[in-house]
Amino acid sequence: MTVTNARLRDALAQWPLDREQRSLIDKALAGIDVDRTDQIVELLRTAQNSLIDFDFASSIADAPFESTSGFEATEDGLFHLKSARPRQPWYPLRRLRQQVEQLFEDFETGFRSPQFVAQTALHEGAGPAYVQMHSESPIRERTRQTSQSESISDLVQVIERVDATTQALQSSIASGSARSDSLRQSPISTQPGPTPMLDDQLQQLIRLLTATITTNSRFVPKLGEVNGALGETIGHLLNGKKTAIGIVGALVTVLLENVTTSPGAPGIGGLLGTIVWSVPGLSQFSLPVFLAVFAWGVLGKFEKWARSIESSIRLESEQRSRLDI
Amino acid sequence: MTSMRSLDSSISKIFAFCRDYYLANAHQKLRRGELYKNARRTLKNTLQAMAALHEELYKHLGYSVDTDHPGYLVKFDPPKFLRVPYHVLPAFPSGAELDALWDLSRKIRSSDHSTISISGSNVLRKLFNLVGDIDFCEYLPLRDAHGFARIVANMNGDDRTICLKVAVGNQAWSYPWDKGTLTAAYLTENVDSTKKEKSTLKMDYVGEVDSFGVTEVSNLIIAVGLDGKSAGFERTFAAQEVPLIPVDWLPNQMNDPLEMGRYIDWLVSAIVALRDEDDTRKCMKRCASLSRVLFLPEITDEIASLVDGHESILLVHQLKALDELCQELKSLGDDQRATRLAGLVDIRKKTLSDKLAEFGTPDEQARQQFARGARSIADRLLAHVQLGPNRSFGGAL
Repeated sequence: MTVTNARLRDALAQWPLDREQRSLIDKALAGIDVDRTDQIVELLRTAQNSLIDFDFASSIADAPFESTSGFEATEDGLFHLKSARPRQPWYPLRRLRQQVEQLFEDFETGFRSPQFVAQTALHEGAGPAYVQMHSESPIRERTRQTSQSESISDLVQVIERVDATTQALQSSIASGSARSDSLRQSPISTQPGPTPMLDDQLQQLIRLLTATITTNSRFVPKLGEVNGALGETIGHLLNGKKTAIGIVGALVTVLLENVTTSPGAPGIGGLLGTIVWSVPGLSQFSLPVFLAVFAWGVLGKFEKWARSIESSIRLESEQRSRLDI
Repeated sequence: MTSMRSLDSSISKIFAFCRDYYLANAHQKLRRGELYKNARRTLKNTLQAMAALHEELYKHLGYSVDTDHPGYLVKFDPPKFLRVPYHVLPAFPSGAELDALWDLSRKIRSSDHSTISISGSNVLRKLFNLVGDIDFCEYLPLRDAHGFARIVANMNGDDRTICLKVAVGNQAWSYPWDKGTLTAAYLTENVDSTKKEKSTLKMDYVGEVDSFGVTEVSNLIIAVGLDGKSAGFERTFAAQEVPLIPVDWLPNQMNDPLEMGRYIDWLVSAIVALRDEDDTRKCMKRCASLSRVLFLPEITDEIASLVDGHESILLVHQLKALDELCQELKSLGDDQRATRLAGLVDIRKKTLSDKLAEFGTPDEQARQQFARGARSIADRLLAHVQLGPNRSFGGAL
């Protein structure tokens, strides 16, 4: 027996096959080539892992709560079940992520509903069999998943990073609350003292904002009506960043309200203090602006999804025309 | 390395989950939850691996993996095209039997645009000789204006086949037909793909089929609306259908946990009902289907052994069925086709009676032994898809 055949036989040993199937294995092994063997072994291994993972997940779900040993933080910033394989991460923002995904999916469901698909395809001259045949076609499904996952992962990434920074900031602010109270009473104090932790966290936030604005410009997509509402230049400049700017900006505005450093203090704390104290009521106008930018960004994402779905339907329609279904 | 026992358990869990998930979500079939996606991915990976393996095992029969539909293999032998679920391939008819089934499907097909499939336990025909009639399932698009006219024409049968009954919803018509009773216009008016009770038609035939002799044949016709949907889809199951038409559209997919759960639940309910009614022969048919789907080869083998060891019991049943069929044909009076078919049934009965004489008529003890064996198999099989530790299959399902 060759090594390749032995590998396939080993892989199959895990699977329950009947007498006839097992009797055919010897015959099949004689005529099978190495590449095909590798493919089947890989498929069997993938399936086996899926089954074991599913089994594992269901046993976790079935287990009484007290039988789990809780969560532990790891270097990747996620939380894992103690004494469990690190394949079951628990995200601190999982609920928020699910809500965001649900929101987007609910919106998109309108475009993927059988009625929408049927109306669109029938409008383009497709027959009902075609409509049914392609209502869940791989092309559209792939396009949908790609656009959705990219957009959502961007947004969720930003939210997660902002959340981590916010928590750190909040703890810093809380630790210095006593000093903050005294500073509020004497805003022109010349003895504010340096606040290195706060400075550091704020710098992180600014770096995050800067990175969000300056990255993700690998390609220049064609803008739609929403994203290009203020022209091509501004549109491209803000394309893919509005949602993040809105979130981060609104967050910064709220945080700046808690900045207690005086204008004359050294470092970035002093600079922020100058801004805060020189613009009374900052949040009254900046917060609505950032929220508006956020809403604009969300609308822009909806527009992109709608266009990707439309283009996939058109692509299929063209394929249908070519195939003359 | 994972032991074989543990993978058996994992396989059972995914299928038990499918049934559980179907029962809990049947009223609102949302296919977007994390649970659903996880189960679908697991099913897909499992079905793909098994299909790839079976492609190699049954290469000599000309089957190859259907890359678009996980778990299926296709065979293109012009003009024949088949799409077979991997788990029925070992027991699926081949050679002359398959040719006969394919020819029959063309004879009873209602439209050139419809998708006709062999369905039910016929797909397991090679496993053991339990199968009685031949069942087809046909998806008829309502946009085909000529479909109903052809159905009405099919009611006339041919030299070798008689259509004995047509049922539309709760109404049924029997041969010999009254002129004008069932017309294409009536069907156009009364068939509605959106209503469960009006979306299906059933045509029952009796005919002389090559390789099978005189047998009952049924065709469940499901009307498919302009939107490609039908309330009648709930009467079909992907895992026990072999489409005989080269189409890429399948109404139900095997890798859909809801569909798989629906099929398993239907089989479980049927097995429990048949076991309690002591219809052990039919119960074993359903058990064979379920054991195939659940990757339980030892139970499949056990069913085959039980059937092989009690062939006389099945012969008695088959003789009884033929006797009833013969009476029905003779009741049609001087209809030439009926008289001829009844004569053929008599010949078949004689052959089986001679065979039964060789085995000896089964006594009560043999019947009880068969019933006990069947009940034991059914109980062990049901334990694999039990929904919880305190759930009893003896109770309500």
